[in-house]
Amino acid sequence: MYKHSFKTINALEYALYTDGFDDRRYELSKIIVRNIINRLDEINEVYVSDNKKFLSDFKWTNDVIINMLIDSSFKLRDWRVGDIAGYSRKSKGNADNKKAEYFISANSTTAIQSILDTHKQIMDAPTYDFGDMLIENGLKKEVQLIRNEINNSIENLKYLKNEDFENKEVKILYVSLDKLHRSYYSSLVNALEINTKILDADGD
Amino acid sequence: MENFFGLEYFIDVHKRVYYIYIISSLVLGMLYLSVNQKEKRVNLSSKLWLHQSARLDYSYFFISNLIKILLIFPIVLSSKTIALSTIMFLTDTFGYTRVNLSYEVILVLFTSILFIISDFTRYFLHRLLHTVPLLWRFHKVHHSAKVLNPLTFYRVHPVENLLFGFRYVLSMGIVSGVFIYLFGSKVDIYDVVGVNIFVFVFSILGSNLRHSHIKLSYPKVLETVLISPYMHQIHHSTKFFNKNFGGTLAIWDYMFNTHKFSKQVKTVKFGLKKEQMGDYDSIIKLLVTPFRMSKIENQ
Repeated sequence: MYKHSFKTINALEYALYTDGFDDRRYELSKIIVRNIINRLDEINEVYVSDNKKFLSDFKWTNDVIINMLIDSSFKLRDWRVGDIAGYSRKSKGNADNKKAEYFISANSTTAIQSILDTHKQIMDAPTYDFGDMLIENGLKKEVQLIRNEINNSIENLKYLKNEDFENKEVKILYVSLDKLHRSYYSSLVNALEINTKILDADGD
Repeated sequence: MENFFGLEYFIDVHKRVYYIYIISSLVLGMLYLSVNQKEKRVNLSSKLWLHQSARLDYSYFFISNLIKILLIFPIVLSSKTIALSTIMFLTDTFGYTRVNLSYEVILVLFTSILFIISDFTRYFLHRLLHTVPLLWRFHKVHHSAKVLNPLTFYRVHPVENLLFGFRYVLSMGIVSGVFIYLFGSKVDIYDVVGVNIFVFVFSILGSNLRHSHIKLSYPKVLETVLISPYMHQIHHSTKFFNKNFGGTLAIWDYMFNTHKFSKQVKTVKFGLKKEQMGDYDSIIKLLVTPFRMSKIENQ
């Protein structure tokens, strides 16, 4: 649902921002908006109705959120910045502003900002958040690192001026997003305590 | 403070000489001796337990622990660093992915693969220690034990500790990294009191008898899969240094033609060639001899 809602947003962008906007496109846009609203309502309903079920299995809930954050931080780094600015392995150094997620409407920066704000709400909210819960489970250092990287990335958004991913300064943003992605994995590796579960490292 | 004397080894479940493993080996040893009365005299003899080689094992255990704390552990990288590098390498190369399997399946897969890979790398490094002349110099320290006791396990040169340390972090780190890359936070190990279940079971089933004079062997079929205590004693025998390199599993020896069943060897004689033993009869010599061995021929 999450994935398809984005596709629909791209469809809306196309309908609204490409040449030839007319009454038919206007009607089409209204349908797309209704679809988006319906989907978001459905998501909201599931969140509300299954809230207790979602929180009843601590490990599962924890896993879902961490996996989601890792997934999102990867897409931010590679799909939304690296591929366009030419810093990801896939792009092989070829920067191309036209590959930006919302190139037509020039809203890619806004989208990145919103996603980072969501990360901040989950990990670094003014009230008790997921980050606080991880700290209570012994991951204080890791959470501090994640919070720093979220704030750095939000700060470094300033280097993405006028949707120009081809500007060399965007690398500063890319590097902070890379650090954010790594810091999520780092917290995961530390949380799993993989270091201690085999017998000592001596010979035989 | 007890860390510096190695005493924590006896209360640390991750160590070979954890008191529960020692007790279980003692029980097994006693059962074995009650059936094989003839071997009682040798195994309970003070000559064995107070042999010069055994006394050297006891004192070397404390000294080598100090060396490990001060020199080895700070050098060896954390397997977490390796795991993180593996994850980032896979993500950069293949992109982000998540394979959806149940917790139970991932638990069984991770626990078994980690154990199998760890055991295989142990076999591989152990074999290299015997086949690469430079490494054999250092591994000879372990094989210089004339009599065996559980602390002979720790009669290992610091250079070998370092190599096993790297083996450990690399195998643990890479396997964990691959699993975390594929399954994210669902990865977990099935453990008993914090130790991989396979390792715990092996340890409690008499792992300390490997370095002892209790000739406990398994039925032939089982010895194609698991290394019995006597199979490891055969490895310590001067004639069969190049056999039975395995840690827990015997399948590697079986696959790579270095396998020797217990039934095939009647008597064993431990240590090195007589003329070489003098180079390994003190703590200083155990530490220094490998570095000045150019004059000594490789055995």
